[in-house]
Amino acid sequence: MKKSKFSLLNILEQYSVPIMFIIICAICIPLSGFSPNYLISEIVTRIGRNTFLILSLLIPIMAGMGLNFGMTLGAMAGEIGLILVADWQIWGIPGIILAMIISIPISILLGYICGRILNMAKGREMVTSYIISYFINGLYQLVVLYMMGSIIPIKHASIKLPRNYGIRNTVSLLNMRQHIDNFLSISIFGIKIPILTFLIIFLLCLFILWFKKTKLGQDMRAVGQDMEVARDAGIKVERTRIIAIIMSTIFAGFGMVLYLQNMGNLSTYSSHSQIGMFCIAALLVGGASVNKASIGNVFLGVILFHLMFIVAPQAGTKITGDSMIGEYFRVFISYGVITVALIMYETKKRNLKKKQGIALSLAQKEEETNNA
Amino acid sequence: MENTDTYKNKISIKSMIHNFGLPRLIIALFLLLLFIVAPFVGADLTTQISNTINRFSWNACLVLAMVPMIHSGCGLNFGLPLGIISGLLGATISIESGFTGFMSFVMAIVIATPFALIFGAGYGALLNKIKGGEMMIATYVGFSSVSFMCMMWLLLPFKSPTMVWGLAGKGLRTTISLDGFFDKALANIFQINIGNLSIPVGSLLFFALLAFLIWAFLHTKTGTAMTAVGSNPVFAKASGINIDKTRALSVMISTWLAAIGILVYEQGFGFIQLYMAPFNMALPAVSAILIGGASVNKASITNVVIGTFLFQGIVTMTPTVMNSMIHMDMSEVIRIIVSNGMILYALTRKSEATK
Amino acid sequence: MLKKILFRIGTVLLLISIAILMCIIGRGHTIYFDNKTFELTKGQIDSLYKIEVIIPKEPIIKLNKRERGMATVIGQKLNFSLNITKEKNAPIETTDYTIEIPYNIDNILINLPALLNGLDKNDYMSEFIIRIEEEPIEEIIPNDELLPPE
Repeated sequence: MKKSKFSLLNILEQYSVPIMFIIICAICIPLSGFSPNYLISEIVTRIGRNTFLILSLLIPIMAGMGLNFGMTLGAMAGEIGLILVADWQIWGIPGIILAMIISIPISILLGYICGRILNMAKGREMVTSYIISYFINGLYQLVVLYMMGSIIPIKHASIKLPRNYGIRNTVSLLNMRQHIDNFLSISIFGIKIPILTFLIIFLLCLFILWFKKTKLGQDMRAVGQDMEVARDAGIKVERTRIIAIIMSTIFAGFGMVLYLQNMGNLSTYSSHSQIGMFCIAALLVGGASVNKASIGNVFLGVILFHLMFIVAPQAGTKITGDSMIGEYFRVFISYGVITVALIMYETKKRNLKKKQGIALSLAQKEEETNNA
Repeated sequence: MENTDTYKNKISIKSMIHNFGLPRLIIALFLLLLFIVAPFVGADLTTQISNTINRFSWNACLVLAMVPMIHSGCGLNFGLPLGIISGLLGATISIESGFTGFMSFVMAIVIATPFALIFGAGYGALLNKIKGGEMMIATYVGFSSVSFMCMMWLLLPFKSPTMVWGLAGKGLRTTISLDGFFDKALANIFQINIGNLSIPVGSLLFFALLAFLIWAFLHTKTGTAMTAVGSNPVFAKASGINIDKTRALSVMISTWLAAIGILVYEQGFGFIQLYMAPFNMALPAVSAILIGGASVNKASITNVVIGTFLFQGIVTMTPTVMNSMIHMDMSEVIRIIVSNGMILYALTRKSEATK
Repeated sequence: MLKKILFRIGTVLLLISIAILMCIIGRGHTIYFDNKTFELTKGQIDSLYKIEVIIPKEPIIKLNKRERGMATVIGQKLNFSLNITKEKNAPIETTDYTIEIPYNIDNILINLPALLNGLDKNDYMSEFIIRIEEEPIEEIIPNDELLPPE
């Protein structure tokens, strides 16, 4: 069988989504009228803010569990950590570290629950993780809106609602705002580059690369390739899948803390709601697919996706004269890109099965003619 | 002898519970509890019951739209927004064309139908290409189309003063009042009012008509073919049924029912909601039918009726009872947990549905 | 097997100790400095003409008579120096101070004249209670709405 991996057509097909995006950006950037300086500094900020979160999606893909919409669970764990840290008045980088540490046990618990449920719904992991994120969002609201302040002691009335239990809509993180970004930052041509943030992202990349080579990492890849073969090889498939989700959730928790320390403000009930969807969209824009994603996809995706995100509203306004068009346009593109990527994945899967089926029947026919 | 008798009784109770579905039982008991507690905490029972029945009449049709696709094996129709958009187009165009009163409702249905069939056909063709991954893609097709329509609502050349933003003069408003159009069009046909209890018999009859049509359809040759495709695709293919065509047909019917469903909802609610509103309408319908006992690949009309009633009952009763009892409105959060938990339960089952 | 359990317990203990460390070094306080007349049981200590409070890494706080300034501090120790002008056209005197801040109190008020006259810590330092004005009722409607992010 000729393997034309590097033929132009194959490359075009595999990278069709990023190429589409490059075309869209190429049209929208000049239309939007933003200066290159502004765009570059915005992109650098957004890379620092979002990359950690998107990197957390890589491990479940490696383990064959598809796009982990359950990363929202990690985001919620990070938010709970930040609410507690804000209440305890721990500021600056120590506060950020503390929030991350607090999020770890919560992430482990939520990730374990998510992993267990996903194991019960094999073959439908993506829809299930999607619904899980809504379900746990309900539990999160139960905790934050009703239990915090009443059962869980919260000292500061400035965080609580006037009725004395439940957290306000926004929690100010002013005292740790951009502390990690500013800690070691240099300015090139007027563009602020947060060195420490990038260092942290780099460390996660190194970790992921190292992890792929460990036994656990290899187990995960085996499970991702074929669950039954892995099971026959003695790998504890269910346990490995749960560990993959737990790791992803923990990293999502850290990523959310990094994201929020950059924003400086926590929208208690809405910060996490779309984070899963937009991180997945960014990853897909970078050329990843449901069963294959690399660190390169993450970086390419975050740059392209956020570039589109920044320029689309302005471009839309210039074209149609209505400012809302651009906003809706970028939401449409985000959802559209996930739809296209999912369709491509499914059709590829079916075509592969078809080819395998044909190959199998050919082999059988050969056997018959040989035996005859 | 004694022992085997009690043993048999135990099995039958257990199997009865299994047949009815444990989650459904829990939810039904919870709802019953709410109904019992209501008068004691000062909530007017008859108002609550009529509220529940009203909401039932609004939503039942949307839930009914789930049935064809579940039957044909396309899974839970998370792409309901596509049908909803057809209905919205029907309603807005009907008003734009100047129809009022009951006629606007009829014309809305008439205009929505071709949209629904076209969208449904395309959607069905798409789903046929991706057998096995329908639910996830359906969700995102739904989202993409809603956000695409968000742009369209702003750009399409609507001019009717009741619908357009006052200052700019172009672009539809987010919420459009149906006062003077088809607000309560169905309910007004026949309404029974006994004291505080008001039953919109008109809407209920309309739903019953649609339900009967679907039930009848499922017993025709094409309908049974549809069920076969869902429950036993190998047998269906062997019997010469064109699987792709049948699935596409089920998607078209589902989309059309969703269009009608949103129109029924709007006539009860009194407003047309555009832009981001259809986003969240798939999940309640999905969880309603699952609460009614359906599963990912099996659903009946009974599931629709029971499920919608239980779901709307909880949505109506929980706020008022909870508010009166503990002065804490946990109803939204409870609704989120219950409805999503129900869907999770269904997704993790591999077994049959309950009747 | 034992090694695994020990490793896990060790990691948990390490994380807990880092957490506790973070709690200590990260505790933030807001310090308010008053250049106001301090009332004693008998008599009073007058406020001074002008005091400058210099805290490392913070902007200089200039306090005329009866003024109040604010600074944020992370950690339990506060090092600062004061440039004091007792009367108009008097020479500037500088003194350094190091104060331990109690852990539990968020907002601390320091009366500088009292501090400068060598009064006891309980006298010059007190908790600053911020009165929160009545804010409009904030309705939070829990939802599973899908809204685009920032």
